[in-house]
Amino acid sequence: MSTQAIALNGVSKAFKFFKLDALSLELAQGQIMGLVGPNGAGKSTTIRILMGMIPADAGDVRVLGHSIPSEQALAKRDIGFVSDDMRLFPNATLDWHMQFVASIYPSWDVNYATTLLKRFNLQPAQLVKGLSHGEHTKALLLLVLARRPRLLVLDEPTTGLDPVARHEVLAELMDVLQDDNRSILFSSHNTLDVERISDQITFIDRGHVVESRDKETFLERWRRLQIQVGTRNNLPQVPSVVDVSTSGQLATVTTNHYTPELHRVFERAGAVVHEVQRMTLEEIFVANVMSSRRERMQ
Amino acid sequence: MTTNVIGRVVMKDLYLHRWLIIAAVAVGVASLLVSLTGRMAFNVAGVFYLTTIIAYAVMLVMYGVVQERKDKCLLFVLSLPLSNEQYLRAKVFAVLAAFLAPWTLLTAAGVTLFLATPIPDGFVTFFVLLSTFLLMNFCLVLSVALLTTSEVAVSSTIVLTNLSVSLFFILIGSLPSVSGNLQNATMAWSTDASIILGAEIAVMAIALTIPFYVGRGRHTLI
Repeated sequence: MSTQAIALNGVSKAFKFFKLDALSLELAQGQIMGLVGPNGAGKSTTIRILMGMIPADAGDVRVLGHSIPSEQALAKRDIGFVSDDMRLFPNATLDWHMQFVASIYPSWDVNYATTLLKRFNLQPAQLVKGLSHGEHTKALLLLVLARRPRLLVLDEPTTGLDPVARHEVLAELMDVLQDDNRSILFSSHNTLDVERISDQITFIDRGHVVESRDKETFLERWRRLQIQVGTRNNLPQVPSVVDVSTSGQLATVTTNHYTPELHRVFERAGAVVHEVQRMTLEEIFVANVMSSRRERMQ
Repeated sequence: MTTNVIGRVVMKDLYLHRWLIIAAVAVGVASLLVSLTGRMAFNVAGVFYLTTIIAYAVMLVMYGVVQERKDKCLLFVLSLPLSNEQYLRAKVFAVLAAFLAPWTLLTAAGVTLFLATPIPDGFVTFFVLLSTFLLMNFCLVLSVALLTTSEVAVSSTIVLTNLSVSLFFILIGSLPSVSGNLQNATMAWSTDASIILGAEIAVMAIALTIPFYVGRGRHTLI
């Protein structure tokens, strides 16, 4: 059995005004990957390709060991997919949807579904068109989680949720994460949500994977240094420095590969490192994307 | 499991369209009953009957295919263990079944009405050709709705197929072998009628086959 829950290799897809360009990423079984990117970065396109909904122009896609799109029906038996723009049938009740999904998936867990109904405070007899956005998202998650799929693919599931609903959804996902055999691909532009639940993070921008690493490596490697310099020219060229902004004799240096050795490099050049700041995932994301865009424009 | 999923998706569509199916049958049967009450009523009921079948066909495709895609319910269906081709198969089967159930019932009831009442049996040939023509138009609209995500294309097909009903009447009127027998006490089936029926069936077969050929390629349903 493949140890990769998801393996995309050199996947390309061209639309009129957007191109997903030779995208490769891997998610090991049992891992949780946060796919982070700005609006229009290609997150949903990537996810729809791996779900077999959109055929790729080139590249190889394998999900749970199945080739996509040719074996998508087999793969989707073990995939639970929720997207922020996915909708249930408005004129049917949640109970009808539960019975419909249960009739398709033998793995449907009635007890867990009942637990989720209570936890999410959902009424099974309610028509879907009467559900709020938060309730609708929770209903979608219920329908997916009660099947106990091996792979969860969640495309911006917390978008548009109020803070309480977001907390409930994330708390449930954290519970799901107790199962070591379950893999999750979680796309969002909300880095707080991603930071909270992900083991691995992939930044994507304008159809390219900018960087893909485990979360701790991102948080450990990226630093912002406050440095006092005479002129900007005093700063040596260091490959790991991705951004420098100056204000008078103060420079803010962002590095993607921080080591204490960096202090000595700057000090040898006559600069004084005043402060080293850890960066939030959001700050790392923005710096990473901006640096990647500059590189691609050169 | 796949057959089971296709079956469930078909049953899902039939369940969601149940009120539409019941309404079409009810209005169609009512039209046929009213047609028995007099010559004027026969003409008015004929228009009602025709409108019911045409409107039902349009509503079925709009709710069953176009609206499902527009409301993003299609994403939910495509997340089920189905390939795009299997989805197409389920959708064609479901929407066709939802249309054929009232269509078959109403066509059979109409033929029975002509044969069992003083209304001339000569109407049967025309009625069967017209009913099949409406079924053909339904298949064309369904095919275009499955092939494209463009609402303009679907709307244009609906308009064109509705206009073609008038052309169908003109065609029948120009064929003495069919129109000349309308008032006859016995039904007559001519070579022209066979050719028209054959052409209708051929167009239906082509219309329902094309989405599957396109679906095997790089076609995207969403």
